Amino acid sequence: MIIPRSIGTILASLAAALLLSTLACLLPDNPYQRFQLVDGTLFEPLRRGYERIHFDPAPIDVAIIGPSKTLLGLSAPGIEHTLNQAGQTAHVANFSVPASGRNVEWLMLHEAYKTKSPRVIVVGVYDSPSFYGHPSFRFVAPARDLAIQPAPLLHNYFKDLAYLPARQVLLTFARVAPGLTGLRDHFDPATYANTRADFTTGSFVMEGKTINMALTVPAAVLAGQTVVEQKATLLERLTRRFVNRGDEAVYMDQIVREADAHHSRILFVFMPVYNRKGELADRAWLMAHGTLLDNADISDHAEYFENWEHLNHTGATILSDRVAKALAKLLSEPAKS
Amino acid sequence: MLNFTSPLFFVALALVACGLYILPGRWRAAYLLVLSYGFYAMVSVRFLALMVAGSLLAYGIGIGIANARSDSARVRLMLLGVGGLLGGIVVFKIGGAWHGWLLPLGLSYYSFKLISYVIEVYWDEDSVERDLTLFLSYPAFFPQIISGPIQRSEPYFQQVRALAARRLDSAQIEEGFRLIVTGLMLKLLVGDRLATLIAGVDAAPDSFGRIDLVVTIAGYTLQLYADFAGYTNIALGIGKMLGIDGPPNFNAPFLATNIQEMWRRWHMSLTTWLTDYLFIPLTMTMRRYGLAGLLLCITINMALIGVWHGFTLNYLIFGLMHAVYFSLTMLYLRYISPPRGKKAPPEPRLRRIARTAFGMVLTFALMSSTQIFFHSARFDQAIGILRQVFGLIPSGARSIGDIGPGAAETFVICALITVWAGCGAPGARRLSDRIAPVAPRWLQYGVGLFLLATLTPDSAGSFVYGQF
Repeated sequence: MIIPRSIGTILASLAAALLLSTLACLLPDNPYQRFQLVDGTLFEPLRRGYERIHFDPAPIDVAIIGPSKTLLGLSAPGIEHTLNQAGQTAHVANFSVPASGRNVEWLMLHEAYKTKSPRVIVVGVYDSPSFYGHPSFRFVAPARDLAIQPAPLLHNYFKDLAYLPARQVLLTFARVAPGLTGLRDHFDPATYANTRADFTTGSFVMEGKTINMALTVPAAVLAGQTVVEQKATLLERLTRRFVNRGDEAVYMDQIVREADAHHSRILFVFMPVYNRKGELADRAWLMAHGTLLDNADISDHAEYFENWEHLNHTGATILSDRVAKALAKLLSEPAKS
Repeated sequence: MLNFTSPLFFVALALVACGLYILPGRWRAAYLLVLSYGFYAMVSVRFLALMVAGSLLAYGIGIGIANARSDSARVRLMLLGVGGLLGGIVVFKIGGAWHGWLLPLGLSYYSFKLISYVIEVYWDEDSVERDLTLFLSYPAFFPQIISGPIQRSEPYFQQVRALAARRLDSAQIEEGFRLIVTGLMLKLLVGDRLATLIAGVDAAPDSFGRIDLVVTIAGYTLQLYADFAGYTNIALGIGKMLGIDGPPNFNAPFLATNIQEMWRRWHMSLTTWLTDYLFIPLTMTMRRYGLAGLLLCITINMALIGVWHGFTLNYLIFGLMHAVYFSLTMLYLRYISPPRGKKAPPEPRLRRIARTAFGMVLTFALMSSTQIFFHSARFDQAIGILRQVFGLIPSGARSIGDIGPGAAETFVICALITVWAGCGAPGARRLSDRIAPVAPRWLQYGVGLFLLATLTPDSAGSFVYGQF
């Protein structure tokens, strides 16, 4: 078949663009600048997490990973304090980030092991896991981890990959002219010190919404906020069943493997939502890979919630105490072989 | 809806273009109609019905005029058609401006196409189109539906008829592809970046310094050009891929040395439409009133250009400002031109260059001053900006550079690229030819696509003229 010249030109230009994009993916970047790409967004705690790992000399004995439920529901200083009262000194870092997606949680854990040696990993679990990757993964993950993922056809794979050339071009430019991109190439202790580390107390703005952790919300208001989980469509169920098990399952495997490789123990903490006694889908799997702390009883108490799916300061204090007690036991056990 | 900037749209375009050339010739007009209606139905089936109704009205009126036995019947039918179609625009524009109605996509564009058809048939009965499928595809032709250009009926009908016997034209396909790539680059890489920076100033104009505000006002014109000229290139490129050449909308407008010339180079399909169907007939009617009649015609014409965008005070002021500038320019040109029969003395080269440069800058400044009203959503906003520019209210201390890292540099780069493009991109073709031995066309396009893939801002999307 003879391809008309113009069609050949168009196909060749598409191939050239693809080749250039592939080459752009190979451009080196400064990981610190990569983590600054989420500055000013909901995912800013990731940048602070990176600084905690790479620039803060304090060790990390306990690393917490999870979504906004664990960010607002577990207080690292509170847990440290309770452990101290119990006679144990441990440095706790909360690497949680709003929105669901285990891939970025695995990434933070992977990053943490580069400079620190957490002995226990606290993983927030919930009754409605996300089958999708985290929206911030494409900003902060190394190019290799975006291009080569642990399972084929993860739900956000192509979307994440499509952003990679643009990101690498921006990061390359940022290496040359950091001032023009607003991405610092050096650590700024002042910025680090001024970034909020504990979200279980006070009030702050998230996604334009002011969150007051001291707030107690009437049960009727919380009941009105409750979202009933939509039943998965047939297509969704088939996709999960046959294409892959979703990011949740794939990256939970990765998290467990990463922790095992570094001889860390895992504490799975069930994060309750108001008035929904959902059942953990993978309870047996979780118990086989770590200790499970069930907190379903909290879901009955309206006074512990800031909104239907996030604890308030009182709820966070109670949950942090429970986690501290469970950690005290795990930290006193001999290192995992 | 599939947006002209979405990669998915271009995948679909590639498929439908292939479909067009695979189909037997006699089906191609119907195919274009189905595609266009399908595209429009994705926005609104209800508004599609409105477009079909308007099209059938114009079709019927056209046949009625061609079959009419008396001049008075032809006049009545023409007035009915023009009135009905104009009425539709007026109702929706008033509803949109005063009651927040949703404006049917492309209403102004397809109505103007249909009005021009009705008038053309009235002027020349032979231009009537009796093939309903071919006729219906004319106002609906999807590459031109969002923001024009406003194509005349006869060139469209001729091209679609020729398409039936035509094989794939390699040069036309490649030219279409080039126009799409360059249009996307102008719109997404330049226009949308300028739009983001301008939005940064719009958020709190009173916090910016006067100079920065003046620069931003210049940015309004640049952003509008990058957006609209980018869109036009994309629309013309898509049309070319489907075998239809559309009329040009821009001809290096920033080279214009006066506002009259600027209007011959800016949104040409609208201005020529108004010139042919409004200005010339109006001036013929008002001839007996001399200069006063001419000035009145200019005012009516420009005011209509303004309110064509929307029935708001700001658009009317935009039009009237142009009327004043246009009239003053005309009077000045009359004043300086030599008496009839006498030649102007030769002008020294340096003086001519200086006069041309001054004219270009002044024209751009005048155009930008009207953009204050065009760009502002409300009258008081525009007045607030003017008061700040003229120092009647205190200005802030912020500069464009404070909007974000690299904002000032981005603004300067985008502004320079837009000015270059708006001057007809001098040297672009020569450079492309010169580097062709090293970087052939496909590689040049490939680099363009790569830049689009990597540098398109997240906020990229809608077209300014899509709202009209």
